[in-house]
Amino acid sequence: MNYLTTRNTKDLFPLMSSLFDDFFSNAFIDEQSETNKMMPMDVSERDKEYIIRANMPGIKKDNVKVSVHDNELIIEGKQVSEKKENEKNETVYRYERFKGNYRRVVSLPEMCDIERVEAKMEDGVLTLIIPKKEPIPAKEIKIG
Amino acid sequence: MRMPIIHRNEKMEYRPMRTLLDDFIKNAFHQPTNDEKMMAVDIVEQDKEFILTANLPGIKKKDIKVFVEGNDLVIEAKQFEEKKEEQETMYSCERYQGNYRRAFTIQDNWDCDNMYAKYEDGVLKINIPKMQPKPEKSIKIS
Repeated sequence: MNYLTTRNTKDLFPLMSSLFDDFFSNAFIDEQSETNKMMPMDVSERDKEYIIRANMPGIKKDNVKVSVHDNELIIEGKQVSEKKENEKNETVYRYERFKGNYRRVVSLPEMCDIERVEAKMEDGVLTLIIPKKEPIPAKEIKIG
Repeated sequence: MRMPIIHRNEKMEYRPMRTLLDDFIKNAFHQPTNDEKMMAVDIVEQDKEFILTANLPGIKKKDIKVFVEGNDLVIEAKQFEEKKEEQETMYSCERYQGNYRRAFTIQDNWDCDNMYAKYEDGVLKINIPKMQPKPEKSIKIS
């Protein structure tokens, strides 16, 4: 009875600690730990917006895809391996950097204005600014 | 992490395994001044050069320092907190916010005078050319 064996404990921790994460949307992704990884992410809130910052070192701006589907924000980063001319003659001494793709799903609260999301990629960090929607004032109906 | 196979009969110019241990000890005994962490690094040897690649997400180019100290090549990176115009409520805080530092033992065949570095998309890449082997100088016995 161990449903969680496929996930690393390392991956599980941020998932548990993050309020925003939708456990189920991430848990059922066909995830191969070597090729797909959740990146570390900060989520914060200001008066008028939510801010998401995600570390994706080595990913080019053009290879980052951010999409919204049913109030779920999906961040994907594809690692395009550099062309290696003389790969055969290479000796590897250290191999610590993650070489696969990044993917993470975040559940957005209802009051997010998806139309006006600002995204910026700088020094390997993706910053998303998601403005909050103006609350719709409750409409009172008079009883005649 | 992949480790190269070391053939004993190879020229013992650089000994990756020993270097690995050296570096481990060096970094283990380095007194971290304030919160410092070692970054993930790849080191690859090609025909003419060594390529050292280090992940430094969120660090500005001007805050990275690469220098030679004694027999070490040191990479230091300082993280400065972004100025926040407004108070933010944090919901999750998984990204590392401190500084980075890591030292590597310079090998005999590293040409440290001709190294060059490039920083792009949060990744620092240092190319270290190989030193030309010095021609053997024979001394005549009179």
